[in-house]
Amino acid sequence: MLSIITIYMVNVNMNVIINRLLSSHVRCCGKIIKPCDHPINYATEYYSLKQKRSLTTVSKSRIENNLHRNIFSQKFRIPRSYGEESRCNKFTQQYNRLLSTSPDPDIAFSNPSVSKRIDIIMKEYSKLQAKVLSGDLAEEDDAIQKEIMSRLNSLQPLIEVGLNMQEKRKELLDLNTLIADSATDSEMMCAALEEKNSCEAEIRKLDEQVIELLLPNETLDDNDIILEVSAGIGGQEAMLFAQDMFLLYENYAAEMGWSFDIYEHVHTEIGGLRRASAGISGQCAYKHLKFESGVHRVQRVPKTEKAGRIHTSTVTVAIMPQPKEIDIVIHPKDITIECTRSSGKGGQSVNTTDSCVRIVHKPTGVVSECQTERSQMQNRERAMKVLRTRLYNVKVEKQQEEERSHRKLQVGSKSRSEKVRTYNYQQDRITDHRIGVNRFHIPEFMSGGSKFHDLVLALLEADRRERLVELLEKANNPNERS
Amino acid sequence: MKVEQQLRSLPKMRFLPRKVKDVLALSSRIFERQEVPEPSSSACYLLADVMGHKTVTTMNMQTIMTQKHLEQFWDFCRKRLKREPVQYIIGEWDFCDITLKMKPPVLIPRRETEELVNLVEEELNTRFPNGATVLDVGCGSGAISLALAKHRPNDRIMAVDMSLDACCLTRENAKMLNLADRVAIHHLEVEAGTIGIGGCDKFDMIISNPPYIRNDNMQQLAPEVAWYEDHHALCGGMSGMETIRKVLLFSCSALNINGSLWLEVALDQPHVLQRYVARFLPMLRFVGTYTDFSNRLRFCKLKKL
Repeated sequence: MLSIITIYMVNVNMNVIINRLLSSHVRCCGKIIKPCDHPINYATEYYSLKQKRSLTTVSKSRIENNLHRNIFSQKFRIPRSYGEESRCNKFTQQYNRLLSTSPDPDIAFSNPSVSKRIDIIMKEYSKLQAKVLSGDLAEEDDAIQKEIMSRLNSLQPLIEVGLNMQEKRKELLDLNTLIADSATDSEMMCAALEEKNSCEAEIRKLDEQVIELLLPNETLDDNDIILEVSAGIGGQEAMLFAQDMFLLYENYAAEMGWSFDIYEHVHTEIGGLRRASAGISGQCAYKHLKFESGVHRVQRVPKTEKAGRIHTSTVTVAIMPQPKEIDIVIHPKDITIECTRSSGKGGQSVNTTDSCVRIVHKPTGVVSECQTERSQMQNRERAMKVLRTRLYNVKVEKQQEEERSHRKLQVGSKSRSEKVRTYNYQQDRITDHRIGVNRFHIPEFMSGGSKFHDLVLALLEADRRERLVELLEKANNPNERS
Repeated sequence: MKVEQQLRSLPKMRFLPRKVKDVLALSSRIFERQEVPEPSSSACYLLADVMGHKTVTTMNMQTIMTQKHLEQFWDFCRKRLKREPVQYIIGEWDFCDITLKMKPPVLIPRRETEELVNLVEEELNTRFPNGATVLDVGCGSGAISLALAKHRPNDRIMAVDMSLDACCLTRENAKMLNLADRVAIHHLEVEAGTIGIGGCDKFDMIISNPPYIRNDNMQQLAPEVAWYEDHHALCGGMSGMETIRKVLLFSCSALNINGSLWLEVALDQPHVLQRYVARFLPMLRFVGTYTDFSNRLRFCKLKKL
């Protein structure tokens, strides 16, 4: 949001331009601009070509108002149906384009640290390629061979873009000299100018691609997850809020078209929730929900309160990626399976509906329990799945802990004990502490609709920027690279 | 008694709770007072079934129940107070990953039997990956044979039971699960001389969960079991071994060479069985006993030599 505003600060006249663009086709710099195609980009382009940067004194609130009225209501409304990842992507793409056309010193190819970074990667690539071609590789271990090949594959797209970029830049340089040359006749000049325009556009496009490619993909993003919600401090009130939170995620999953299987659901008599866990599977489930884990704090007058005092209580949410394949091997001898009624004789002489299964992993002491199914076998399968996920999560957390020790991320720390959000019912306000953003209308937010999705996207964006900045810092100090 | 009388007049009472969580709390308290085993889980399962769910975890506790649902639920509770098993009241139960219809007096499959199916399946998958001929002796509601038929589409599976009720129920369940053409069901009692079932006289595997409770233990059964379930499916004669012996003798002739016989027996029976086989049945070899969830020896595997 902030970055949009910054653009706006620079191009304050834009709403006028956009309105014009929308009302009719506009001839601008020899191009016909159709109003239906991303007006803001063309407007920015138009604007930067004119090199007008006036009116910086307009108040921020007015900018915001204009922004909402003119842009969000027209083009940049968050898509209503979240089921299709593609539409979300489209939104982020537009959003990103918005960012990359902004005069942001952080993310552009021309930034010396970015080009430095790319140089490093290109050197690494050519070194690896030389190794492969010279045939030294055959003497190495299988594992190393595999590693090198996968590294090469992952670098490939970036290298292509980098080479392309170099070529384009060279072309641009040539064109510039051509234009500067006084001997060129007018026809030639015209063609050169046109060429230059297209070349610049191409470079801008490549710039965006580079940014996307530079950011290392989060490997777990596409994994299925297990969600755990448990009541923290605050007794009954915390349990009531835990139920609200659980419903929020259930609704959000439904909105996104993900499947939501409840594994465990321990409720209290007045309708609260002691703890619950659910498996969520669907496209990019981890990506969207990973920033939910942490402590959520609620401030409100509880239903149970007689004197009308405001209570503060907490709910802990954990998001654990599920292992994709057989990342985790559990030996049968390492686990003990317990059933609650195992003390009885069992067999034909007893009839029981009880099918609760509890699995203890002896080496780590991790426990998982399931009693949501009527069949013991199904309960055991679910409990195993949960156990596997817990063990995997222990592993992943250890890795992330190591990463965190030499990373200072605000958003991406994903620590479980971190206070992430406050829900203040009195002021009808939701505050995310990591990005310092306020949202209003709690009931709408808690229904898991566009309000919640909006915040999720904001967190993702903040994380992306943070990682990018970190990456650039790394490139500036290559010695610190791990 | 007072509570039951109260309950009898309950649906007419004005102050009857209508919210799911209140209904659950009241009914489990009544069950507890009347010493019905597993009071709260009984209430949960009955209520979930009335509302069209499998378990209460998927339900909203704040839902207001309709009059029709409430009446049906209290009807169910009255049955439960008479100690009818939950499975019979709601008329279905889960076994492994299939849902089976339950009808008195056919035996309700026990959770231990799920593990028998697991063990059997493991062996079938390693020894007969392309399909085998399998017989389920004493199929009851069809739990073992139908679960196997679902998991192993290439097997030829037969099920027999001496009770007509059981055979009918198995057929019904097979139809419900779309497995009717996969499992052949025959109404007969296996004995030492039985030869050929449904045009097949040799099997790769025989599985059975025969009645094994001793006569003198039949008096100590819980009311749920003793009053509602078929005694023929429970009582294994004076020694508890009568039906087991019949199955063993039958297997001597009906198994292929190297074919195996799987039995689920009482906790004290595996070693009796082992001695018996070693002494009287040279055609069979006792391979081993396997434990259930709670680490107790319950399943026996034998092999035809």
